[in-house]
Amino acid sequence: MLHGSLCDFVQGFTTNAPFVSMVRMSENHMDASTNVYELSYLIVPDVAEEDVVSEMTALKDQASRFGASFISEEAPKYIDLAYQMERDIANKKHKFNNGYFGWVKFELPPEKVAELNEELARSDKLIRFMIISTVKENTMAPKKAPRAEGRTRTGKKEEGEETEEEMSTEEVDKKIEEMATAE
Amino acid sequence: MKQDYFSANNIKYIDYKDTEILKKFLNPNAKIMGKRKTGVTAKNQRKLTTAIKRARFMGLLPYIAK
Repeated sequence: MLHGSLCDFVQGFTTNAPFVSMVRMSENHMDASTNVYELSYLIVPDVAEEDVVSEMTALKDQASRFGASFISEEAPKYIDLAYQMERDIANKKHKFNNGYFGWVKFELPPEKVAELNEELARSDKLIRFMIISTVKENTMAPKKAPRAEGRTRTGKKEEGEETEEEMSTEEVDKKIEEMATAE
Repeated sequence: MKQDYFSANNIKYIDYKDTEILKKFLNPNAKIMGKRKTGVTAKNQRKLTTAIKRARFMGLLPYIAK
């Protein structure tokens, strides 16, 4: 009996633990009443290159109607998809191998996300989209300097040494000539 | 890759858009490498897996290759 009650206690505790942390989290967010989200999207390739920006602003307008305040974004870029995607647009199946990929980061009240999600799902201009929760800071890793540094350095060193040697021999020659002329 | 790639390179967030980094952790069939092979900490391996799956959904990385 004792063991059973202990187990119950432990179970109750462990099941409560995440709940407590959830409450704390929501308390933290209470001040701002918004969370940070990132919307990434693939616009259909049929859209002309110059109209893509207007599509992006249309998406942003949709989000701002729900009270989104934007943090950062990247304009849609034409990319080759890693695999073929299918999507029904106006009851017709379309296959895509390319699309314009872009993303935008914004703050939004959590209860509005589902509504935004529903509205975006109705769009005919999007192959796919995804809303994820993220952080305000830039999450992209900084681009590293090209890796070939080591190789070029050694190459340069060798070249440098060679030139130094050549210079020194030339100098020696010059000095000898100078000596000869002096004599 | 013996040491954790992400802590070695000071990467705090594993972003699904950094496909060049994520590609390092895919095998030729585009399957996600195991943690024994990647040497990434368990915490980062979970983040890495999420990032790769997100990138796959958005068509940035393949589900299968070859």
